[in-house]
Amino acid sequence: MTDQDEEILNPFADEVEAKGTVLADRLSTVGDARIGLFSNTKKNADHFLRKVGERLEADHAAEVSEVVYKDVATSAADEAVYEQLREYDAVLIAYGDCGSCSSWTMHDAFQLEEAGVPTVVFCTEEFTTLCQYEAENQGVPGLPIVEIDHPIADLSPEAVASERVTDDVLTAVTEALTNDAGTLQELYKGKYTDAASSELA
Amino acid sequence: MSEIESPDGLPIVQPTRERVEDFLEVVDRDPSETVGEIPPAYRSVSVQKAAANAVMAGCEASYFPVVLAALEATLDPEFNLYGALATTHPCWPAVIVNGPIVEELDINGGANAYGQGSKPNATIGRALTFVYMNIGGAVPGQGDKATHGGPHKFGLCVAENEAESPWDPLHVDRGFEADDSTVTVVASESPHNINDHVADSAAGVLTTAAHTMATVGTNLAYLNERGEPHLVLSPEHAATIARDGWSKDDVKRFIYDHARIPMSELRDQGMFDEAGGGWPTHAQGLREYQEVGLAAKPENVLVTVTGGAGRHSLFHPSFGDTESVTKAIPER
Repeated sequence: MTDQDEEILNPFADEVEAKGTVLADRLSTVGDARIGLFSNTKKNADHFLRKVGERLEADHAAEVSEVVYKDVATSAADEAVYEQLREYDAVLIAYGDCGSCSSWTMHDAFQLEEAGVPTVVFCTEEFTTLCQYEAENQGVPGLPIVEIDHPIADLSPEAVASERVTDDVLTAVTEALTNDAGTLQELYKGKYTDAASSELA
Repeated sequence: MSEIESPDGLPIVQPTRERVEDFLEVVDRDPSETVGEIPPAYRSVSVQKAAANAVMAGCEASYFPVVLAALEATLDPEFNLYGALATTHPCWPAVIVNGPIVEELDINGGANAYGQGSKPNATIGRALTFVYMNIGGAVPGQGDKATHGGPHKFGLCVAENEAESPWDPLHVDRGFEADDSTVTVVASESPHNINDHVADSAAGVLTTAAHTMATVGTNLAYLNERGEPHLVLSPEHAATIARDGWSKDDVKRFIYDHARIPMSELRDQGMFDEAGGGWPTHAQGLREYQEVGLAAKPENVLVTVTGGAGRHSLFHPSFGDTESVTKAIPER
């Protein structure tokens, strides 16, 4: 047996060269923008979005849509839903609070960003690592993922509005919609994945 | 490369070039050929990297065509591997093998097939797990967010017990020849027992099965548009059913009709969202006297025969938003 026979082959994914991001151009201002609200059907996602929408209307005079739903949280939205959402200047998606719904929410966001629609994903703190890992590995680093407290499914709609739609969340949404792609990549660089990577190491 | 650490906590075989090349010998594929991109990171896996992971899992070289076919089957978009690997639900790709390769590789479809004691059963599914972890990043805490996970995530592979089944095997139902070898992958939980030592009729055995399957908390009710409730009948239960002249389609129809959750249980005990409009999404459109079925149509019920002696069958619940995929294992 030769040394070459004994060589251990790499069973891991090859490193790939980072190719930038497909993040869409952001808004110059939230004021007067047409904002689409997109629920992945998770419980309370629509209550959460409506409250965020109310605040954007009140604080920025944004024009906010009714909530648009996809069929099921655990798969991609239908093309007709993407088509509807592409009509807006920006889209807010709620939310990731489990594994598969987070993954497919990110997928939906990637489709919209690629189509030129700036997107913000809401995700509970337990799943932001997964969401950002997917954004970083699927060519959309910097995609803004706004963290909300977990859990949210067992709250009343009133508690969702008062306890989850905080001033900090609204500030993060405004920043996510108006900062340019480069700034967002800096803001979100390893924001959630760095801590997880050091725990895994 | 230095010694590889075990992805799953059990000892592994180091993927040396010599061992990996033995695996590559048994498939007619270019080692550098891309098998696909593995979610959630969507990183590319080559035939050689798949072989390295199969070596690590303890497979024999002869198992590699099964691993490769199963891996490719899980990459079919209908399977929803992206959702199945990342979900909090305890599902994971389970592999069912049919055809002559079962005997060639001595894959267990008889007594204790879902348990310990058989090398191909223990290692083929494990090889898939390693690919998902090492290539796709489906690592707990990173790309795999299972709330509990389950023992089947170490890898699950069984054969169908075709010799003791009264019906055509799964792959023949799906249009393959009996002498084709196939894998079928299902995004499943660990199986759950169905005990019936009493019933002596088809309807009796299947009533027990349907009641064991139809539970409020199953994902198959929650996400049931595409879901496939998988009933794994023991040869004895299958024989009792067939003795009454029932075909496999009759079994599917019975499970479709009877594996149902009364709306009153959703309303009184669970999943009733007072503030969100009442009935959960999966029950909307039904009337209060109706029941939520586990399968959207009879054909969605998956029926296989596996196991040894004994009057137990299994319910193998799936993720729900997924479809099983059957793929031929190429002959060399």
